[in-house]
Amino acid sequence: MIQDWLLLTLVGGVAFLDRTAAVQSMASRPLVTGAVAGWILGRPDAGLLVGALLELFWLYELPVGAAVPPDEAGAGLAAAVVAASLPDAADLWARLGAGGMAGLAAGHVGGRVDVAVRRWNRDLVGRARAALAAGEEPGLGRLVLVGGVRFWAAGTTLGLALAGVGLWLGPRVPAPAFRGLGLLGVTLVVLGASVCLGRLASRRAKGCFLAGAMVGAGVGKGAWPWRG
Amino acid sequence: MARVGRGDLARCYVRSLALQAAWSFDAMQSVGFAFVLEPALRRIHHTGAPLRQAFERHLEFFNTHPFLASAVIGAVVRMEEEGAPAEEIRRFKNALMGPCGALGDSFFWAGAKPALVAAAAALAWLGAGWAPWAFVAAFGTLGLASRAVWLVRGYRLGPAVAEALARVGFLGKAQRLKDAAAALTGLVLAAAVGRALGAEGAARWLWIGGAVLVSMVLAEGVRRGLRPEWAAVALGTACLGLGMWW
Repeated sequence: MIQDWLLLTLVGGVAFLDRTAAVQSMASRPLVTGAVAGWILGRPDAGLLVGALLELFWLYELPVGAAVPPDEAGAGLAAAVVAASLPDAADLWARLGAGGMAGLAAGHVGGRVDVAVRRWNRDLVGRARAALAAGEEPGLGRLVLVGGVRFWAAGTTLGLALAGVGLWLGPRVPAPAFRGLGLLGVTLVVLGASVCLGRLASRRAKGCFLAGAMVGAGVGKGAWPWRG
Repeated sequence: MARVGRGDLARCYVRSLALQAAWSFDAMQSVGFAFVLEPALRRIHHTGAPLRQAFERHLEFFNTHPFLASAVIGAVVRMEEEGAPAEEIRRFKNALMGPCGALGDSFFWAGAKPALVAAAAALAWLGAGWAPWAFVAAFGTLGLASRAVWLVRGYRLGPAVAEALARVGFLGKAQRLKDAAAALTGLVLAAAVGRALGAEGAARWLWIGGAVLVSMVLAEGVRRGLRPEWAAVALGTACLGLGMWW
């Protein structure tokens, strides 16, 4: 249990760093953090699919200019932890419902933390300019390291808190709520798809969406009765 | 002035991966930008007052898309190497950071990322557990390669890199990627609803058709300002209530 918690914290720190400060390989997307967290907790399917569910909500939240989108990395982590740690009696859809709601809440908490780190970093350029004014070199490597460590520390602390709350909360979800959570899981998929489509907001996007849905309906198991 | 070598450009490239590590609301990428340029500036200006002046002008406000920033970095290295006046370098940076940001945001953030994520999500719903790793490999390669290509092109072309950026046609490509993302989102919805209900034949098509219709109505609400998170809270409360009662 403690080992899982520490691993999840490590994932949270690395993903938060990847999100803005370093590389931006998109290993911080909920699809990835959710899959990793689900794998750590022994339920890879629930982690992967709750991550895929959250993607629909934040696919078009862009880090443009000073805009800071919700923290998808922490959201994927929290969602997968809640989804994976629900009691064994819960089915996949109840896991997606509970995890999806936990992820949406965690994303907004993480977004606030991200804003706080970016405010904290405000002193770095001042330190560089002060060194130059004093006739010294600005020590840019050290300043970039300080900024990166702040992002990493914030992500690690956030990961520690989110994973801890998720591990505590998940097993305590009462069994009578599973049916409603299952219904919520399906509803969140529909809502998430509508968020994507609403953000694209063009006639052409609607046409593509319909075409994609028809393909999805046609390729699934049992779509065509005569194919057995 | 000394010439910048391949090793210096390689060091700039590695540092460009941490361009945003010192990101802040007022200076944005400025500390990172000066940090990325440092190996080249040291080669060109060596030490003392010229180096400090170069650091000072690159600590001014700068913000653009992190992948296409490499084009500006490469061109600025070239201009510093050729001894371009400080004001000219400043004007070039200010003129290019906006367009690079707009092109990069539309192509990478609003085009390639959603299309690749939606493809990975669709694969995940169809049962491919390896989908996230394929996504990270694809997008990571795109990001690393774009940074390298634009750094080299920026250095080779200097200020003319602006025309090279315009010729790529990022916006048209972004639109095609957005169409692909919309189609893949439809596929995700159908695959997920089909999997949830387990219905077959006509019942399956009816349920999926219903879900598509509801999502199109809700999409109109989102377009008009419906907050998805609040909608999720309202739907969550309704679903839990219904589940307990039913």
